[in-house]
Amino acid sequence: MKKPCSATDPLWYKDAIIYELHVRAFADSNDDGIGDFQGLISKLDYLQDLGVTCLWLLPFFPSPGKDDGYDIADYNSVNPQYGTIEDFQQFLDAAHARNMQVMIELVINHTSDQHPWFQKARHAPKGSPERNMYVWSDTDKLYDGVRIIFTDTEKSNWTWDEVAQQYYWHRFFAHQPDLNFDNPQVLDEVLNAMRFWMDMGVDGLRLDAIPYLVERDGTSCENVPETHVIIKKIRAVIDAEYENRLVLAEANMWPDDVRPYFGDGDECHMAFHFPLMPRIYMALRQEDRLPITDIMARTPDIPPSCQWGLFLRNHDELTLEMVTDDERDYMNLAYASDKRMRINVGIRRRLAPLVDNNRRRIELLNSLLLSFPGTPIMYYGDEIGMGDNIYLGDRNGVRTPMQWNSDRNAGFSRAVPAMLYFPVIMDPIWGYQAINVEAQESDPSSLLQWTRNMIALRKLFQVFGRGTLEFLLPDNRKVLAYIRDAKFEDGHVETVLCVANLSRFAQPVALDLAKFAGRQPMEMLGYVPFPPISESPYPLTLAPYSFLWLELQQLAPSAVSDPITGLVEDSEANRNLPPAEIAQPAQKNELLSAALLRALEDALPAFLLKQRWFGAKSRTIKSVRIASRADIAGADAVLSILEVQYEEGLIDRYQLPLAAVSGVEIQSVATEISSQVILRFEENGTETIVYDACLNPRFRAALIKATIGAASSDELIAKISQNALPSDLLKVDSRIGSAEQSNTSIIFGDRAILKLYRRLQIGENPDVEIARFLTNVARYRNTPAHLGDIAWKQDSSTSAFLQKFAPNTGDGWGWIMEDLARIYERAASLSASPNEEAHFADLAGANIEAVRLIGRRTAEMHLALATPTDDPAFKAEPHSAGDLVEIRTRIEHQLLTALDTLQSRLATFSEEDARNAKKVLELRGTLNNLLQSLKGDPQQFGERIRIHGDYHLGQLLHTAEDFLIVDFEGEPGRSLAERRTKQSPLKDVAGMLRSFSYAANAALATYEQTSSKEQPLVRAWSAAWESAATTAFLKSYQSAVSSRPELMPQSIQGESLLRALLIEKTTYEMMYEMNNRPLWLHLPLQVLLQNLQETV
Amino acid sequence: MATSIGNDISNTDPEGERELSQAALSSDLLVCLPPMVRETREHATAAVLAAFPTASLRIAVTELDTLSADPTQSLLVPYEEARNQTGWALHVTDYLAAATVARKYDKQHVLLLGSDAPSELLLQSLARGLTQSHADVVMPRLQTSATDGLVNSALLYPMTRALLGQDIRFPLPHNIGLSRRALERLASEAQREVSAGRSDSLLWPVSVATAAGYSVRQLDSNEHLPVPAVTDFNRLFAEVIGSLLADTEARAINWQRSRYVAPAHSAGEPLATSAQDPDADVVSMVEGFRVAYANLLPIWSLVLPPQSLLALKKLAPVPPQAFLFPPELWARVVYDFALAFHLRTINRNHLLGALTPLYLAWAASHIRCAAGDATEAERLVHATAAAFEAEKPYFVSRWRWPDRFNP
Repeated sequence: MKKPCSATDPLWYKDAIIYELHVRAFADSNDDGIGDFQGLISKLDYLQDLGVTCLWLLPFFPSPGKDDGYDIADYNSVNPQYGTIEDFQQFLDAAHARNMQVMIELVINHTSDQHPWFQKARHAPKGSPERNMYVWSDTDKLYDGVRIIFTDTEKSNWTWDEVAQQYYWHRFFAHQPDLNFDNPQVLDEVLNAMRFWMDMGVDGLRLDAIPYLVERDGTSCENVPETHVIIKKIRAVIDAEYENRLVLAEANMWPDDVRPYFGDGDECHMAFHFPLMPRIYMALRQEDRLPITDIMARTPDIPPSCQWGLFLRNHDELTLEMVTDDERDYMNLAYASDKRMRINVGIRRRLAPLVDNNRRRIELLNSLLLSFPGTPIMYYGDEIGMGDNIYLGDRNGVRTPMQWNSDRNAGFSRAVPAMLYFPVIMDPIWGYQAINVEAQESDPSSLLQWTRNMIALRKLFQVFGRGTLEFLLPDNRKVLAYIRDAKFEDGHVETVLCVANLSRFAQPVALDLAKFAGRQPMEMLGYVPFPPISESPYPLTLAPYSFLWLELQQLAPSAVSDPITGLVEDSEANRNLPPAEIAQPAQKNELLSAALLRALEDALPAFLLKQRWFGAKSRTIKSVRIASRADIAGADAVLSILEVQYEEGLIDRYQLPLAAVSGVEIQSVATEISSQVILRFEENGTETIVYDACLNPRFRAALIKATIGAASSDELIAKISQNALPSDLLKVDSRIGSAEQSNTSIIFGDRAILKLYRRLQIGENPDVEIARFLTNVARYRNTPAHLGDIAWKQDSSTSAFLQKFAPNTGDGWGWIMEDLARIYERAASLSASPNEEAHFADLAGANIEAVRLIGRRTAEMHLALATPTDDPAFKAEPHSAGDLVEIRTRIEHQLLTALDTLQSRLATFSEEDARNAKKVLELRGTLNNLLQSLKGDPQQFGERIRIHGDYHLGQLLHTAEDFLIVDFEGEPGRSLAERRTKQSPLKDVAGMLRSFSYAANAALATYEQTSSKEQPLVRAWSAAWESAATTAFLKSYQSAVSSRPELMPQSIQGESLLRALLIEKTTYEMMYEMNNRPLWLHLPLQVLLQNLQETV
Repeated sequence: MATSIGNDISNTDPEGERELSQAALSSDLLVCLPPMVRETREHATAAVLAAFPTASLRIAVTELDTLSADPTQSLLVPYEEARNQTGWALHVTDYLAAATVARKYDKQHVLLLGSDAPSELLLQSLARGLTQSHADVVMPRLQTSATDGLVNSALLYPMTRALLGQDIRFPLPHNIGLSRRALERLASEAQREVSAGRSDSLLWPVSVATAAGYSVRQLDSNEHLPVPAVTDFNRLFAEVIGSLLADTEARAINWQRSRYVAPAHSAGEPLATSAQDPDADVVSMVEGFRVAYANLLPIWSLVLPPQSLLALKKLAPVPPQAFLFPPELWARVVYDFALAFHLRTINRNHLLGALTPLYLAWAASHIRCAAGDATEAERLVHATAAAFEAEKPYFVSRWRWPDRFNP
């Protein structure tokens, strides 16, 4: 039986307000100058009154204290300075009694070198289990090139140990040897430590430094796949043995790189959003919302059960690792003018000093913290605006004793002041006489009272912890405006408009709230009604640094109706459910009663908005109707088609398999399905839970059985590729894959993958159509074989696609990014010039060889797609005059649209981008030259065939020695007809060339983020690699495709067409960057400029 | 706001259909009787059997005499836990005990009674509300005179109506009909109270049901409001109002979401007007208020804003024959005390003690204005409740931003 948690809601952390504190710094009960658990217990009432709901304790374990407790010498005990294990238990119980959860640190990447495990390891023979608790090597060249994190103090990640006569590995300080997770005993010990604390009742664990758990040669030793295996194991143990516990990941990385630590909801529940924090400060100082909207646009969706952890400050420096060099320089100049304020790659200051002790600025930043999507984490002392002491070493300036009152030692301790672990702050502005809890408790206008009120207000609205985020983008960029919206299981909706003025002066703004027309904004702090919203822009005037939270309420009903009668009348009168299905539940889909169906349709909008695969999150759903249902034999589930209607009238069709569980069975599956519950429904006293059936192994097994059995029913039909089918497919277990974003992949061991499509379009999906052709007609080997598929009979839309499983080491993008990171790092360390052939061949030769292989495989794919056939869908055709007109029209339209947008946004660009943009606009006249080059004899432009359609490095799978090409679905934003149109294969070529360009620059950006200054040499390598890769790819492609000369255009036409297609692709990228990632705009802009100049 | 009086089905059913209906009513029914002496219990069980003459019924009693030759013995089932002995309102132990029996005998509808002599009509109306109207909570609207149940009229009813949007006239029940799921939810809350060592706590079924999204119905009844046997009014007042304010605090999220009054769907017995109007010492209550004004002003100043204090100052010298406590002022006073209770501005017992003389002032005003007329008294109660509704935004804003610097 699972051990219960103090919280009953499995998602409690989504609504939590976390308070981070150090036992040492909070309150001293025994007058030794060091805070302790008894002191902390005496302050729990204060924390309860503050309103925080979860306490995060920094490490309190026995430790030599060389890294503020993160160098642990004993996992299962309490540092005697802080008390005893009984004291901790007493604290835990007291916190729980006040409805507060407790999160502690699980530092498992490393231990102190004083830990008995390490001492034993040093003395144990090489290769022994004791020695292998840590990572040892006879050479310090293993894992060569892995970056050093603490560059101020460490010169290598290896340190020689005289006793062991080997080097040991450490990613942090030399006194913190890394544990060796390749030794299963390590994980066992870690799990034992975890159980020790969880058995006591600890509610959450912060996993420190998890990207570094496992090392692999040839990698950056960060985020390697095996690390995720370890985390999944830890999570599995927690889920199996404990209820409602929390795991929070510390991974100081870009949101895209943190995303895998959520897994499919089977790794960490929460992860810090590190890059947001510096950008909030940047936006405030620059009085421009862009840094915030930009980073949020780059923040991927996470599983519904997961949550971001947000913070303004913490016990470490304000990290500037996740910003560009320019941004870092700006932040240092803006917030750390005194060099003593800086440490490592960050700023060691508290919140209040950072904003010059300006109360309005503090309130504004806290309003963002409390209203952004995620769980807010507050750092002790910031609620009273405590200052820091930059004259203390390391990051200790922000770790001084809590200031309780104006008595000796700020009321923290009654010890002789010299005994304090750090001195209290004593200057006239920040000193404890001026800033302390007691004074602020008696001051009704204090920051402490304000913070209490804001926390209480946030807790009243679950939308802040659970709702969606949509930015409004008014013209005035000094104003940040966003909508938080959530629909809850009980049907109630919370919609909140947040508006913040980032400027020190009053600002006007007009917000486009037309989609909320008719609603009544209610100012949330004072419950003040604002004028109702209409179709016109909604004007607001904001005081300096002010913010508004407005609940957008539906107007109250004018007449009161009977909730019971009303429900019946509403459902019977207004719904158009197919009468036969509702009238004859026994005949079909028995698990969904009529009442349940109605409730289900009401619950689906909220469910859809939480799904990664639902692509219209920015739209407002008007209604969802279950339009079709089909039984799958033996599945205990139905496959349904949802018709999703949006407010603007558009309709999308999504596929959703539905399963239901009732009564006593609920308990047995509640944990497994918790992330995908659509509805909890009570009927006749029986509770039923409806959930996404993909979680149900029976459904998955039934689906594959129906596919390979070529089954057919009134609604569905399956087709198979008989020759390719593995014989034992039905015997393997299945699981849900984590990589797929817009559909759902079900993985059957190492045999097959079944892709269940989510958004349906009328007609067969090109992915299935092309894969079937390549498997059965062209016999093309470099794509996973088509095994079978299921289609809806009513309109031939593809329901599911079964493909052979292809073992691989990741996609082409990931492969090339790793390779480039390695090349750049080695080039920098060797100071090698890319212009020296020997150096280039040595560092990049193997990579360029692989690019050549990609060129060949691409050509072979096109040759396969041009395989002679009578099938009109695939038969190759020469270009006609009409085809050329169509290409010219398409490119002209795209380019003009992009240039118009460029012109309209010129004022918002950086200086360099604006300069390039003006040059591009000046070249508008060259469009004619470009279009002219696409005229002439159409036969000279080669053949049109079915192509990949959305070809880039991400569509390749890297295997041990080769590449596979996948996902022939085409650009999802285009209609099915457009995607099935035959085109010149050069369109795919253009796509891949642009992908090389992005890879070179993305790897460069990543490299520069981790180095402290600009790297001209590495920039030269980036340019050289892109050029070499482009050349190698094109040469290899041309050579391989030459076996069918009619496929390719003549050389002049080919050059023109390729340039035109590159321009088309680049303008698409430019539009994307302008709308989503302005910091990346320079990339397509430069390429577009170059290409347009070449057409002059 | 509507409190329509529905059809009394029991009065219109033909006799033949009535038996059928009663059998259907009781097939899944458990009736829980309060503790009582044997003779009284026999009367009570007879009343229950008259209302539901069927063998599938179960009647839970606290002290089951297994050797009894009573022919109804087979229908009786024991309570395993002790029930509340106070009798005037249901307490947490009542819900816990009822839930245990309901689970044991798998009953889906439960009548939980505090009356030792329930009428046949009341029993049937409660059961009908559960089984035919599919309500989760069915509560009787009791008969009162102009001076009965004034704590309910001054605080419980207006707060319930304004904050929860439920027009339930007597939200602290003596007799109640509950669906199984509503009972389970109440039992769960009750268990939490017992675990915290508060076995004598009250529960607020309307609040619990509203938070869960369950339907609540009210039926008209000729039953009279039970009179607590407690002689210490101050203690009783603190117990009931303390519990109400604690519930208000616990359900802040729910009542801030509710924006209109749901109808109560009254149905059941026709209303009868009570002629009883016992003397009440208005003069002494007003005098008590004056004394309190002189002594408690420093405490009231911690709780009430200047405008309310000014209004009280003006009220203090008004003679009893002209004494009028405006309902809007009363609503704000109660809301500000609820907020102070939440913020723990002062010790909660002291706070409730400071509210008592203000309540007596309202009661004096009410009694004087009603002048013994039950209909007028009811009109005044509704005016008070309407004032609570009108002032709800004031309460929400105070709750969300409890700055002392306010008008």
